[in-house]
Amino acid sequence: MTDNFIEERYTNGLKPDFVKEGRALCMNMFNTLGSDPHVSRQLEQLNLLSPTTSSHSFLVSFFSMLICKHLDWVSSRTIESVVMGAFLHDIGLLQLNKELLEKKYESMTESEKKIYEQHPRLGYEMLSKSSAVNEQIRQIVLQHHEQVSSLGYPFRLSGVRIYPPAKIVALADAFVEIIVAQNLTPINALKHLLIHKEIIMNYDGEIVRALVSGFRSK
Amino acid sequence: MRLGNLLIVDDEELLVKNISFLLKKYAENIFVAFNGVEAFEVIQKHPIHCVICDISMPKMTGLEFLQKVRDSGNEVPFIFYTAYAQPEIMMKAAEYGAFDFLRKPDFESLIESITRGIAEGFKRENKTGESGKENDYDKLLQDLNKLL
Repeated sequence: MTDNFIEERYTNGLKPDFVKEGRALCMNMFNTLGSDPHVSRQLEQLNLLSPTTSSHSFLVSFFSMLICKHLDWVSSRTIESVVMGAFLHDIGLLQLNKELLEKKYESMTESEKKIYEQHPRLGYEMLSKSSAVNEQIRQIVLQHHEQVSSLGYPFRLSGVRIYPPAKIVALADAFVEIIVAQNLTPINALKHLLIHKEIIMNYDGEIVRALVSGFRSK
Repeated sequence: MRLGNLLIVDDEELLVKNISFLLKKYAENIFVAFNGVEAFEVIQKHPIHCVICDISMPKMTGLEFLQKVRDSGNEVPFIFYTAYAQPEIMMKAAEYGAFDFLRKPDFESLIESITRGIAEGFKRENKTGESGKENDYDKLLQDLNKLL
């Protein structure tokens, strides 16, 4: 399953050992989440939303893990929470109208954006009913759209107030969006991200550096 | 690892005593308080680099204490260490920038979290502001150029 969702073109430029390890961990975390009937049902429903939703979740988990591996403060316990949070980050979309989900965020009206921007909070509330998902994972889901520029949502938090593991998933989410929407290799997506200062300044510098480190040859 | 000042806030005296003992090698000084009112007095008198805080306490809850600290302009990392908290309370804690959310009695995670929290607390003491961000962006571009 991970081979289908984490295709070779999305791992181009990464060390093969890491790709293998990353795929294995993503699969383990996916299976762990799937062992909870409540979460399993939600993940199945998320997959049914669109053909790309599951792939997106796997890729965000994979690149979240890449970032984690290059941060000295991240333990194995935190990696697990981050990867699980990455899998579940868009679960709140299940509570939104399907017609809204077919629109791109940029083409939504202001009132539609306000509704869409509730999905992290909705996801948090949905996951509060599951004992398999701890508070750290729920906070990643709640805060995955917060930005250090305070332009994120749902709370418009400043950089120091954002839950640190959520910053990892936030960047991975944006990175995957660029790769897929613009059909770029990861290296070219990284270049795109870094030359657009107005995008990159929304993310924590330490986290961005960790993502860049993942592509270093040494 | 640089050791900083830790504040433990919980109305269970025995728990406070046990945690203080177990964490003594991870902090320079450990201060304790048994409710938010006492804790706020401590924070006003001493430089604190990380707070471990329960939610349900008399006189002032952990959430109210966090709000009061943030409203005073202090962004010290707060680790909520609690048996259970309602989702609405945890969402509010997120709005006020809680640093971590741990379930009692997970002590291993607590040690991991306070080590990070104290390091973060020192960083926030020495924050560089906007100019720091600009330098960070320039450095990122340099790193990418080396990579490519």
